[in-house]
Amino acid sequence: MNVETERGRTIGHGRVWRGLLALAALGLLVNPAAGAAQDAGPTFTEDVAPILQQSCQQCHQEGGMAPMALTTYEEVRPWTSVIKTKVETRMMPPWHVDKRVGIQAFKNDISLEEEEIRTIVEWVDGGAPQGDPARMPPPVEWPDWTAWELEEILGRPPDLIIRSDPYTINPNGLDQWWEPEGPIEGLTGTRWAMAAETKPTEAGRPATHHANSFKIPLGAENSSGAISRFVVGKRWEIFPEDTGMRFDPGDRVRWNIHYFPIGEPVVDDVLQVGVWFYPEGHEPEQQTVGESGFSSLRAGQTILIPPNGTQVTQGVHVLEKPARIYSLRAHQHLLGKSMTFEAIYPDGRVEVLNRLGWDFRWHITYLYEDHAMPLLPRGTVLVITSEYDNTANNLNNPNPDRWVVYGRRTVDEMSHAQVGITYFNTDEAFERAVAEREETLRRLAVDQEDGDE
Amino acid sequence: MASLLCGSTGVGAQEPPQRVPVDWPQFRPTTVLAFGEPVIPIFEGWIPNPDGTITLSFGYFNLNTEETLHIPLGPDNYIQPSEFDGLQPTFFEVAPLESGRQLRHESTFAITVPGDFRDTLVWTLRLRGEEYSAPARADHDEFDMEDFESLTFAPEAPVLSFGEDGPSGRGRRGPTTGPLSARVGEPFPLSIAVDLLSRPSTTLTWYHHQGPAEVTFSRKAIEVESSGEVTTMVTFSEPGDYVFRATALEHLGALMQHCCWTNAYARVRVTR
Repeated sequence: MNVETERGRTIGHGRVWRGLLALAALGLLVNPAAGAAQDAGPTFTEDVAPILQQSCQQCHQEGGMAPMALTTYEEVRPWTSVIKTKVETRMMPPWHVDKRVGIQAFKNDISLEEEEIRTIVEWVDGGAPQGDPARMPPPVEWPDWTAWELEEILGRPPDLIIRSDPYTINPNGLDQWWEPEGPIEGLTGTRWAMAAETKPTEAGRPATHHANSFKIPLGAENSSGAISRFVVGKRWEIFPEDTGMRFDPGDRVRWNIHYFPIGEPVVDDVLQVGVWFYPEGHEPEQQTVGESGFSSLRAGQTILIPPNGTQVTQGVHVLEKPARIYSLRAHQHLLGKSMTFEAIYPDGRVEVLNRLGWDFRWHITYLYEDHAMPLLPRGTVLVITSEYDNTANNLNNPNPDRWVVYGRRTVDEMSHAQVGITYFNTDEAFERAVAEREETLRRLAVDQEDGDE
Repeated sequence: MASLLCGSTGVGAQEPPQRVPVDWPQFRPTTVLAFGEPVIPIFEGWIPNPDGTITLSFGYFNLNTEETLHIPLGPDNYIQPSEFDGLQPTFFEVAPLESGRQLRHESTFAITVPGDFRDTLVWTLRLRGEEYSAPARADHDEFDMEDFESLTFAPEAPVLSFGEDGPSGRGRRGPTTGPLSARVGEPFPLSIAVDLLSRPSTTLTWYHHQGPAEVTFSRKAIEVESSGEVTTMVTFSEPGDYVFRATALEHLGALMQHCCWTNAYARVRVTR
């Protein structure tokens, strides 16, 4: 199994990647002719462009949210030294899972393989030659940003669309938060959601830092969980098999939208959330409330980071029911450095699930592969540890001399995790899931052995 | 079994699970306790003024839930350059608990400096042998604070006024009145007029900002649902010069957003 095929199998977040798979299948990523060129060192058309198409151009395209397009040699050439630095230090593509520890199987892994990084570095060091223009892979056909990505995956449009109230994004100044609340219309009875997607407008997409929609059950004041969370690079979630989120007539939606100015106004921007339901009358075996907030502060603890100093906070959460975690997302501000998730099992064993590095510019939701979603028995303790760096070593730090405290401003700090978690109603259901997992892992291990032979 | 449950030994895993192999810094607890913890001076940010001057805003975080700290102006509570010394609090109220989170006291006072002020202004507190400082400069745009009203969801700051023709203002810089005259042991009315502007309500809270001894408020927090004058009574046990801060705030979310509320200050000279 070559790298491209394996990566292609694991990347599944949107049609973008399937288009790239087609390129791989056509041999553009494993081109016999590339061997000849290899002797003369990597070239743009044969070696680098396929990597950029696969891992960079989703953002680095005309109209994308990245500051420059990287789709042609002419666009890339002025940035070669920057590109080299960014990929060598793994600042780009943005993927902050610590590869030294924990689970490494994610559906949306866009990180570069070591070999790909080496190719780019050698290409830049070799003078960044263009190579034969005839060998340039055809441009990627990017998805229609105004279409529902899940429509192609699930085979039908959403059953319900929830829209935010219009908001005009100011062209300059401070970040802007928009938090309207309103009824969810169109429900005539209880339904169970199997998937949800947040769709920005084409004009508003570059200015949309994140957009979360929370469901407020009828008669309640507080949210029962997130319907959908949009961040750069992540639009949708499909809940695990036979797992759903309950919707009832009278439910409301509360938005939490973070815009940042892009130099020109976006008038009356409206975000949409599409919801796909299970068939009417079907109640899934497992309920989910979507991503749930888990603090990395203990009770009575707060964030207070000394000037020119560092800090660690830690939250501890006992799982009252057996659970399956299907995604992780950290949230910190400018001084955040990392967030580590550990499980202490009822028998006392400790396992690091993942350590996520942190960069405030990216709020990535890490989606576990189905076979890698942590299954945690009742009584497991989920430990979430956050690191902060208020020294000048932190290049994002605007003022290392300041005491930094908890707060919503970017220059204050926050620390919590959004965990995609589903609780099993019974221990028996959990045991069945464990048995299925064991069987899946056995089958995958056999497949891998066969592939290695 | 644990590894199997998490799948980290499954296909795609690259290494067996292990403890985090990083050089974590020494753990420094930041737990808010009942007694014995410090009070931390905080530089909140700066506000450019229409006349070209700059206002530097400060708050504090008393890390005690039950211990009010009194640090008089002087060698344990001072601001440098000294020409700006004197507006800082000397009474540091406890960190109240709200919605499971310990709150601090945001933007409790402000100092206005000339537009060409390029030095660092430093507020220093000394307590229990430790020194805590808040250096302040207006040189980072990230700390440019909005003032009266937010572009988005935060409420707008109401107008606070002392008397019909007295000092009036909005925002954290706030109006100041006084010195007013009061006597020890006699309840003294602290009155202030609130203009809610377009908002439905605000909570007006009085804080003991400076003074030589404890005081007693008849009503510390007042829910204001229509514009007009509101009064609370304060009683003194010792003579001296006092400063009280009123804060008009629609909801606590504004504190986290650092927008938008109004402070006002009343100076009171108390004699026997």
